[in-house]
Amino acid sequence: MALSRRQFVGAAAGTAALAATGTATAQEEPDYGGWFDDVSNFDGTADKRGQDTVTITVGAQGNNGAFAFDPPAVMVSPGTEVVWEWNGEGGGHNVVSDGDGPLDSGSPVSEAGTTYSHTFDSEGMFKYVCVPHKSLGMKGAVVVRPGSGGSGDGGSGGQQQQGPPENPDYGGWFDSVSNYDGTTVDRTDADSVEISVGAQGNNGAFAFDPPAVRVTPGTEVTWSWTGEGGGHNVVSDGDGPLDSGSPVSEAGTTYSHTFEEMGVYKYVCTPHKSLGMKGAVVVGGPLGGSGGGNGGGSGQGGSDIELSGPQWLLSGSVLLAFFSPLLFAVAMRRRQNGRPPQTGEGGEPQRATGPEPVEEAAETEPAVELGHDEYDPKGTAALVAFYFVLIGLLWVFMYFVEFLGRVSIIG
Amino acid sequence: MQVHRFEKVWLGAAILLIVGFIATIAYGSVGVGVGMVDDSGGQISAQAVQNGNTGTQFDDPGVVKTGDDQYTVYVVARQFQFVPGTGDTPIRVPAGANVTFRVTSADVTHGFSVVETNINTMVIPGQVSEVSARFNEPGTYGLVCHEYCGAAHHTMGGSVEVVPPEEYDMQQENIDQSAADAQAQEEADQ
Repeated sequence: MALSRRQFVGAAAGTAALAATGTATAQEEPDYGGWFDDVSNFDGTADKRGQDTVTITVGAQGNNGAFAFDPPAVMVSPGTEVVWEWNGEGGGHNVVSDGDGPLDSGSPVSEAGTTYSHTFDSEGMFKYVCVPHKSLGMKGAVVVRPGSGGSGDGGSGGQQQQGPPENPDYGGWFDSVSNYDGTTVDRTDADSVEISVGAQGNNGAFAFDPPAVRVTPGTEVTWSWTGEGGGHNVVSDGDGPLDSGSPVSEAGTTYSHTFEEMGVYKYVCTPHKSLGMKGAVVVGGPLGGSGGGNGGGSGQGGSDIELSGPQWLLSGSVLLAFFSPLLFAVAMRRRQNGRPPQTGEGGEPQRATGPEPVEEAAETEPAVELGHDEYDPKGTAALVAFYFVLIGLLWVFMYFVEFLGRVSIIG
Repeated sequence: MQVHRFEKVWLGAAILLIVGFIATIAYGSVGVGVGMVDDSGGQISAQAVQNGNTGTQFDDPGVVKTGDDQYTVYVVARQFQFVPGTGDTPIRVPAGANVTFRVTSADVTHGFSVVETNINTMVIPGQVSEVSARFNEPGTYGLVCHEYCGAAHHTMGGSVEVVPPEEYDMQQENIDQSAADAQAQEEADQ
């Protein structure tokens, strides 16, 4: 996820309002210098100042797999013990400082429940990576800075007017969700909102409808099972308030939750998560207006196939190639038709269409008769000899120079 | 059927060429001693490799000296690195010595290919791939995974540093007796 500076500032300002997690304000957002450019689950710094211990999940969903730290960026007070806890997904991970630094959990381990902790006493920014998955974007940072943190205190009152921005950055959450059309359905006017579970989507009845919905704080959201697609449940992604229990399939089942805190609540159906059965509830943010406009525009995104310029060129030339024999035949026919009728030797008019009859050449007597062995194909022999020499040279070069000349397996 | 004498010549030459190819391969394996990768490495639990409790040198992979000019390199391939090999831990071996690579995977099938050499094998979880080689000239060789192993397969690589024997710093490698014993024990087990 490459962000321009303006987008980054915008995203930071937007996420600053996530009162649910107590995010630092835009002014306090540390400058990571592009460190999080390729980290898909980064959406701002989680302000955990004032807590004695802070836990970071290792192997959280992100970066196209279980290759993320969650939260990737965290701000703590000096003296805080930060605990990395492995969830056992995504193979072997470790926590190692980028460059010189205090963090080193050793070689990668994959076992769930593994923990590694470090107490940060001095202020500063501590960037770290999972060595095997660094290139995938498995990177994190701990910012140690004095302060009280913004979790739920009066300081966040000014931000509560905003809530999440108009188009929340879901960080790739909806990449694999087929029925998400890029819009967040605005239900900020409703007191209760219903989401159907087992709606059509993701190659079957494996979708939430609507997948993304915006509500005002205090709204009761009810998930209602359609009874299709087998057993579903509604469970928050990572830490979160939603948990409808084990999957059930009965039509008419409902589960509801009242969202009081602003924020973006991502959730999944556990059995069908890999199919793209994912959703999100955005609590707080813009009122009305935008939602209607987006809703109207979303209708056309469905079945129309839109082709860009290069795609037109490509499909056009493929079609042209496909029909070229036909076009050729038509052209030949037209040429035949255009020709004035000719008369043959017998004076009969030739057929206007079809190929002209070919006159057979008169057989002439050979000048010299040669026996089978009397003719020597010297040209062919020279060509064959040349090929043999070429093959022989390539053989010597490939086997004796290229192959045996290199370090070889000797056992 | 009548065959022209020219045709007889080049038919014979073609047959000679085929005999020559086969003779070359035979010479390579018998005369020069080019080896093949087989199952001599034995089997191992991939889960134990992942958790580091195999009870073999794979728990602490690296280079082990097993005799005069005999070295065994234990390499664990995992998504997406070679341990050792990737990053700032290149595999360091002395030139002129007989180096045996014992490579296994902790997760999925990987490849182990030392670029610009003929050292090239699959690394299959549960199986130890064993290949021996001798690097006569000092130099640095690339190491790549050439079996698709996941999203960051293209980043999985490393290097093999071949250093002159007199510069080979024994202190860097764990050549303690216990490791050599473990190796001897492991070979006795097979």
